[in-house]
Amino acid sequence: MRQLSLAYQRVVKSRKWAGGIIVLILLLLPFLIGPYPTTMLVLILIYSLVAMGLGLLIGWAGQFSLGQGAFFGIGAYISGFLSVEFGINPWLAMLCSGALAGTLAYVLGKPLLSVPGYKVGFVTIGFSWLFHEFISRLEMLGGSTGFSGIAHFSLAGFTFDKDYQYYYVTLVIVVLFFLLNQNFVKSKLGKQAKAMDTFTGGSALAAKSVGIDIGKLKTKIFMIAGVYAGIAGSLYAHYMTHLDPTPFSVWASILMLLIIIMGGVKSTWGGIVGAAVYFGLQEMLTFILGSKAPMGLQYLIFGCIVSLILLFFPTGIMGFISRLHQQLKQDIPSSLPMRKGFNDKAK
Amino acid sequence: MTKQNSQPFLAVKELTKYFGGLQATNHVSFDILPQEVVSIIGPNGAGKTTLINLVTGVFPPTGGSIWFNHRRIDRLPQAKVNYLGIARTFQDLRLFTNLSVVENVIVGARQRVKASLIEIMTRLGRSKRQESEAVERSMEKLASVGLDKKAHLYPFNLSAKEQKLLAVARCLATEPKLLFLDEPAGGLSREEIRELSSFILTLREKGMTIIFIEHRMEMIMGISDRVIVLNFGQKIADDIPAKIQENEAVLAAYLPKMENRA
Amino acid sequence: MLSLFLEALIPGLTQGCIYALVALGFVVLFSVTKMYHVMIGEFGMAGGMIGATLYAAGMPLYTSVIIAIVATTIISTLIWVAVFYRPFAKGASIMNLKLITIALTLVSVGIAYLLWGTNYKELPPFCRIEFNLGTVRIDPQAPWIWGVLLLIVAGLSVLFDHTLIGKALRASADQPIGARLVGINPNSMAFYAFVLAGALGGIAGIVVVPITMTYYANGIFLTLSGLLAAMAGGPNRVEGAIMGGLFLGVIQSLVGAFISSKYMTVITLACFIVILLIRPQGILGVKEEEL
Repeated sequence: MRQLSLAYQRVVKSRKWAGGIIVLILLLLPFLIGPYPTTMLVLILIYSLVAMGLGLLIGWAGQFSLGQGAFFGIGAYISGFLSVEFGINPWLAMLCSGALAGTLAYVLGKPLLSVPGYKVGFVTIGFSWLFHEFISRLEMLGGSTGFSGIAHFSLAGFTFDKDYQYYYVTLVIVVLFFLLNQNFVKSKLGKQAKAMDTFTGGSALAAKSVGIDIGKLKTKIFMIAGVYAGIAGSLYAHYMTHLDPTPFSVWASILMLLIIIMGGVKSTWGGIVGAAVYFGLQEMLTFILGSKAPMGLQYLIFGCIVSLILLFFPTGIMGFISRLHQQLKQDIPSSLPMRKGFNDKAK
Repeated sequence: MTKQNSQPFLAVKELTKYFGGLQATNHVSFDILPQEVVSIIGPNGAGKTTLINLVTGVFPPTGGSIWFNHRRIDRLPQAKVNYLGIARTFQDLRLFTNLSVVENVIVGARQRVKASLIEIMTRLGRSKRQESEAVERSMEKLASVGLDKKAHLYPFNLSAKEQKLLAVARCLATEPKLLFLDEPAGGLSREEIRELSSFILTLREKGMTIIFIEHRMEMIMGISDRVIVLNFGQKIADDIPAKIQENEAVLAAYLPKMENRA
Repeated sequence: MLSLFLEALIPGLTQGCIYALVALGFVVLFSVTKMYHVMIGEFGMAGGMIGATLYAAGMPLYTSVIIAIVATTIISTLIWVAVFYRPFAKGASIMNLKLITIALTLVSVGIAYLLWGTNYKELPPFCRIEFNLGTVRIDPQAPWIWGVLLLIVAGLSVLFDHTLIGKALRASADQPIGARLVGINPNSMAFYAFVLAGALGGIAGIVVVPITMTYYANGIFLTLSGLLAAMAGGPNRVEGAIMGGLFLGVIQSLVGAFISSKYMTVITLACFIVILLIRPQGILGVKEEEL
């Protein structure tokens, strides 16, 4: 173990070089893997954005939401609709999506989160269901067949309509929101969120006693999660150029939840890891079986993987990796404990 | 001016609290004047911490009312009560063990600069100034209790006494006008009690009103302007320390315990 | 007008009974273990699919139904052992267990898809008597459903009030520490509650097949309806589950008949969400003491 630790520390020291190489790979990725996997990559990025917002909500506000699928859909439909009906510039439409999704999240979240006792999980799942039912029947938005004709993103006359171009646009936006997420976590608000979490070493009672308004903070974070999902939805709409209710069902909300939990809620990377596993699984199955895998098989295996990860790595993949990182950094030889309590002691 | 000074700063009127069938607080009434140092004493289970919980809004009273600065506060949420100027420590400290020493203080720090959410997430605008002001003020408070050198350690790195000081610093960051200390002297030596006592008096000089729950006689008798005695949820005495020592009801309540103290 | 009302009310009541059954399963589990899970509907789907498959393979109707229900019970036992049994679930918190059940829902949908594809499966009504209430035709399966609900409610009340194990379950629900003191093992109680909830889900699932058919993704719908009904009615009371379920069915039906059949689900859902927002403990629920 000690050898491994020393080797790891050497790698960490050369972080800057490693970082540079990774950035280079990221930029060249579409050309390395071909056009079809690139579309997968774009989807991974889009889903990871939703998951990132949800991760902030679960990991920092301690609040589960089964409604992100709805916010995702709301963002997508608003952006697509503005683009098709009014010819609004996709970038502007995206901002509108984010703003409207966020506002809706705030309106829904404020009564739900300010007073304890509300069954947030149920209300959000009901909200997801409601949205899906509603959007499947609304003629104006194409009902269950949806509508097409959504414009791609474009900048200064140049339209992003090739796969690798989407990839860059999406990559930039996701990186941006990744950084925003990090900024939040490092800020006073992020610290207040840690302080109010009784399960990981904080104390809700003490937090309140120093003036932290838990309900207000939770609502803010819920709103942020809504914005993330809304923007992701917009990205999705302008990428697909066609929208229908199918990807925005209750399943989507459940999927988002599973993705982020599996990835790890305390880390901003959790969303990306989770989404990568989900979509990567699809690809791997296709590769192994030689032809397109039946959807049922994918659900089955993904469900099993998530269950196993939850059983043995309750903090998710990133949780496990960050603990590994801590131990290797500090030269602690030990069998890697899987229990939740470990995090409180060693820092 | 004089009128303000003689009006009760904190007024508790017929305060009563039931937990199901158990009566924890029984029609307790008292007034606290600005810049008083008052101790609340009584046997274990007398309802002292419950009293703090009621005043600071942890749970609402079953009956009676609480007035702070002429404003009724008995059904306000904790965070609001703190915002109005009341802070408290906990008997079991409840430090944020997942935050560093200085971060423990930052999260509660009152500030002049307030950045919006967007500014915070993009690190533009006022956010950097907000962060630096928070750090500055927090370091000040830490310095005032002597913990500034340990700002980047974690609570579990601190000694018991240092942890208590951190708890106080955390409170002070909220710029309170009234401070409740729940058994601050537990486990301290005589010398440390003397330090703590003079620290409390310094706080009073800076304009604060202090109410503390204690069992240690040196502290109670040493710095209290007044002593309020509770037993079985009721107030059985409210007087200057000298008179309390001779009060029969107090002696009766305490007798088995007093022989082991001081 | 009256016949129109009845035409809407009766199927609504019938559907409501199904929701009530699922909600009952949920309430039984929740009141004993303070936990809930989203697999109840999946048990329903399993029950329905298994029963329909057996019948299609030639087995007599009643036997298929009974075997399906037994199979559901066995499956829920297996799930309990695999997920909740102490040695495996050592590090996991309650929240994690709930999440695992969500993941398992995905697994069960996957399995169902692989076994049966997207085909709908059906069953004939359990008893081929047709009858009418005035001019209103009643689906032959409907009385079965009402009957099953009544039977189950009666059975549950006998169980909880008159049998030792029922009383032990109730004790576990109300006073877990006291129950422990008198030798009741909360783990065993949780197990029984879990299996009972699964069985109830299975019954709900199979008894509805003659009316609405069943397919691999039916589970989620049952789960959501049952959960929403239970939550809105009051998750810690049997009466709450029944009321919530019946309400859900009836309101949906009436809204569909008199306001808008296109948006009936949407409006009903909105109503229930509003109920949850106004009265989070459910209409008949009891607020938990805050300390």
